[in-house]
Amino acid sequence: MEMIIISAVWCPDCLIMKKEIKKIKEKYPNINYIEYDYDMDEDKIKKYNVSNTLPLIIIEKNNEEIFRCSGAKKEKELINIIESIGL
Amino acid sequence: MKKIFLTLFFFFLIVLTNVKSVKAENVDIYLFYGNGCPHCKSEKEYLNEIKNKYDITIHEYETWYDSDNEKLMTRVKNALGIENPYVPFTVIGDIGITGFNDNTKSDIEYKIKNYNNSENIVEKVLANPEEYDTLKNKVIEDNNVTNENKDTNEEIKDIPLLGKVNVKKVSLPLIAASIGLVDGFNPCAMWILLFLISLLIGSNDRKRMWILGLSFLISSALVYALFMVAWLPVARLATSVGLIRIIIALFALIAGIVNIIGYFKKEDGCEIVSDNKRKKIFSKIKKFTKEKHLLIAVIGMVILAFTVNVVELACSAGLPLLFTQVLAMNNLYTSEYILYISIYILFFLLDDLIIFFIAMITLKATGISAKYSKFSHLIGGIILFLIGILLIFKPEILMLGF
Repeated sequence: MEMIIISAVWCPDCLIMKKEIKKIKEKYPNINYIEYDYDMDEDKIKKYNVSNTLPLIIIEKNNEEIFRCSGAKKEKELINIIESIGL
Repeated sequence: MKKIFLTLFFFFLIVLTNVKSVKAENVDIYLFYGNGCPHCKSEKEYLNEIKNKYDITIHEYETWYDSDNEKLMTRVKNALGIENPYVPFTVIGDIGITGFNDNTKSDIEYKIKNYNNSENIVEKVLANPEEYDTLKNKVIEDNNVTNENKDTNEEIKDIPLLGKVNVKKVSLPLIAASIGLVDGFNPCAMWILLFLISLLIGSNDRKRMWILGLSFLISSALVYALFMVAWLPVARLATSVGLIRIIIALFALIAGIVNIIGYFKKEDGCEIVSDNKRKKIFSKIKKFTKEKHLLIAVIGMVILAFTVNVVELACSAGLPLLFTQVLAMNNLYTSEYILYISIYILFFLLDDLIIFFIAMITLKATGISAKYSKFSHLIGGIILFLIGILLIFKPEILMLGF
């Protein structure tokens, strides 16, 4: 199970969400976290078809996308997402 | 007998002279006013009231919409040594009274009663206008006007929690600070600052980081200030030409509606700026931050700030333009314009400065949630919309009693 996080250094919401993701990483160590930078990893993120808002969180199970959301999310919101998917 | 006759002759002569001097004479009152100025309106009503009480002739000169009258008022003020552009301005004989309140009323009536063939300064100026193009012997107080007149237009209001507040002294700085703060949360140029910070943090030279970052921020502030100063003549013209004022008001209404709609339509998160524009700006920032010579790097930062902010102005021009309009409507001194624009810029930059200082001290980039910038669209939109409505229907409210 993978959580793909696409962010950028120039995006304030991405900077804010970094702290929340750190807490989630500690709480759910079994999830594989993959972080991409929108500008540095341009080629790698092409396949995710990023819309026009960052940060973008994509959850994949067996290489299939099962969840996607954009904008800054707080720890509680991220926990709710993870629990509802049942990771 | 001859002595008695001479004594009687001189006695009657003195009595007659005195009778002539106490006899009420027609007093010319010159009122310089602005159309839409609330204090001027009150003074006009008051002068009309006392018309029946005294033998007076009122000469009215509208100065906001009539440049010849404005010029005449400036010349009369120059002749009296008064250096301020305020209306209402009343001239009786050789005294000038700025503003209007209860104290002014007693000054006006005192002067009417004690006119005594005073020199008519307005007539004197009209006879030789060019002579009064410059200020003569500046005075601190208006001629023969009591000290109370210093604060003629000031309105003291009792505000809960704050107590007695002088509306004139606090309203413009307060408006400058609040609109500047709302404008500061506008995210138009924030992404550039954050990218710059991310590159600066990467370098090990703290002194260089501070110099380059502050060069960018100060230059950005300067662009904004220059833009507002450049708009001032247009804004002043708009106060005197009704049609231009209506056009600006319509612009404010449209910008306000667009901002309010933007609040409801915009998704949470950071909007991605077009690839082309972003990459161009990023490559310039990289080039200048990596420049070995500090002076060239600083010049690069200044050029970058100017180009980027001029482009981004299109995104956030509404509030500074409208704020400049409010300033122009208040007929201020040049130093006051500069002061209020500086307050606006300071508060506009406040969030950028906080983010920059935190990053430079902690070496970690931080940001203010896009939720706040989205909210600033709503507040900014409402401000624009309200100013637009006031410009059309009640422009005198924007004059804040000046």
